[in-house]
Amino acid sequence: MTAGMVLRRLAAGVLVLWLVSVLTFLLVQLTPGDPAELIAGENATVEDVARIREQLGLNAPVVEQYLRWCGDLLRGDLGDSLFSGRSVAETIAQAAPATLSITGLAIAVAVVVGVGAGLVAGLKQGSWVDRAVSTVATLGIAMPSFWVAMLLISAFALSNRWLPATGYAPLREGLWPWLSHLILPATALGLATAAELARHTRGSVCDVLVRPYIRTARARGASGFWLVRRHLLRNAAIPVVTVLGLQAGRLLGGSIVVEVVAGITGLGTTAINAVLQRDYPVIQGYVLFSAVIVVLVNLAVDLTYGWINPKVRVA
Amino acid sequence: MTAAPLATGTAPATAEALLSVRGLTLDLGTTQPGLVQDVEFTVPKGRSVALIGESGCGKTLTAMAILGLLPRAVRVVSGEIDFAGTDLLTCGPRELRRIRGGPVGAVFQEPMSSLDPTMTVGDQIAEARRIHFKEGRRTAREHARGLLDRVGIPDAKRRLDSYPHEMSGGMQQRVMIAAAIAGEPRLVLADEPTTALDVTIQAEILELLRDLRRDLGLAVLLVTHDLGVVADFCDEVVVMYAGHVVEKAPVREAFRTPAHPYTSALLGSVPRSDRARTPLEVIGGRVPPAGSFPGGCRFRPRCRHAAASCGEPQADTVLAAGHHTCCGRVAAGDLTPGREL
Repeated sequence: MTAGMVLRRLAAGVLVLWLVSVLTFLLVQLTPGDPAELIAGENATVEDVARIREQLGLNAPVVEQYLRWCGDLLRGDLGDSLFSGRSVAETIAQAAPATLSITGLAIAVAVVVGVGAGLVAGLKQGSWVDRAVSTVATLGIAMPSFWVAMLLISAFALSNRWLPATGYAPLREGLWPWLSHLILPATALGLATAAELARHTRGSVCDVLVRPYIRTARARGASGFWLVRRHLLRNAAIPVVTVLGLQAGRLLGGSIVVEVVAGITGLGTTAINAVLQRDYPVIQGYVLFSAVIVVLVNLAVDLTYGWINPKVRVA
Repeated sequence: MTAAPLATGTAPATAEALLSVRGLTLDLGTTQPGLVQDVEFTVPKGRSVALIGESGCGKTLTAMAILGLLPRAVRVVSGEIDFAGTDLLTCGPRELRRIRGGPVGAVFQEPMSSLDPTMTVGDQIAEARRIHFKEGRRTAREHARGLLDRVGIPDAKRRLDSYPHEMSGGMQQRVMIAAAIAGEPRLVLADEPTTALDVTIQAEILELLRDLRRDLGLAVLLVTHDLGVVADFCDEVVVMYAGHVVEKAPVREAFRTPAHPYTSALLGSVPRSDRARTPLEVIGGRVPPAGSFPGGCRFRPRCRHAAASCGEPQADTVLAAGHHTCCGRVAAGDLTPGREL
């Protein structure tokens, strides 16, 4: 992958972020009626509304408001929460590690379990292993993550006290405390993605196995692990990486549900509270932060394509 | 018997067989007649044999059976494929892997889809050396560079790191050939190696194969439907139709005195400069799909000489040294071998 391509992708990512920033900004502007009144609630006094309007800078022209907002944004100032009064940046910085940990671990679970199972199923096409993987994968897609989380917690944290049922321990308290709190929610969150990946991996493996270049490789004496590692994996990975990129964004959003079940205060719970309280600065901060993560994931996916598929490098 | 054996270009009957296929029968595991039925031929050491016929006649399946790379659905019913003393049909996967890419190399059609798009051509050529000679990366790469040179790719050192899509079709096929000879084979199976290429490139690739044959003493089994390639390149011809071998002959005899109506019809359907401005003959109808092959001679429904006796199983008849036909009417003397058959 050439430097020019990386730059082009980066530029595209920046464009997406700018669009998101406009939409996020308009979130407050598009609220029907006076956002200040809406935020203040039914029993607010005129002074309250005026104070909120002043705080949000709603008295200035829209363009000026946006430019000022962008300026603050670039300095890392996302405003303050209307309720706790704490800065939005701080609020997100506090909640993000738990959510990113759950999401990251969920992706790891999904890749290891999903790609592994899909690979075996594809290689043993038509066997009982293949049928078992297909059945379990369908189940995995059908089961909602909060229910899986409840099942896992009841089995591994309540019936057997192997793992903590709720809560979160930051990584600085040690690898095991961190991991032990995350295993169950991350597994619950990642299971559906694992199932999705298993199906795509299986399909991709079956598709690649009948390609002429696999026959050529076999005709050269390649077989078993050698054939899988050198010829099958890279070629079969391309559609799987696409699916994984799409799923990463979904997992970040889906984290909300398992956070609630596992009693973890992360971005999800923060965002839900902000929505319920109409805490617009926090909502804006959450949306922007998620957009940045999704853009970064897509950038990583694009770079991975180039690494996997040499044809993309010149495209 | 009017077919006189020709002295030139004819394999001596005693030439030692490198590969002999005997009674090979393949089917789909159903009650349908075989996709390939009782196929029998030999490739002598250092010689070049063509396996020809229309699409769907079973020539590629036969070649894949030799490599042990038949599609899953296809079943070997019976037969023997003897390669230098090993029966490839019964030797087991380990022995088969030793032979594939080692003593038996393979070149396939459509190099674009037959080369791995995610691997450099250097790695693909080096692969057989690493697998069969347990060479390390560096040694194998050095060999790959020599092989690229050998197959006429300029600037070999830089080209090692190219990917297939960065090369032209002709170059890709040269890479395929380099990879096929990397394992120092004694036999190369070439399945339609020139079909997907431009005419001028075809000639270059054939020239390269011919040089390699001469220099390395390779035996070649060339699977093709291109009679021009056969005349140019091969010593002997095995003609297949609908899963049967209908005629085997030294190449000049096959072209001058074909002893099966199908061979003669095939030859008649090739445009010739000495017959300019005459209508091109075509073979009426098409190859029946597998499963609806007629009993007896399978070419009977399309044959203008078909008689009642053609419905009976046809025996293999030797007309002259190395010249076999399975046309009963030629064997009985009703028909005279030749291009007007």
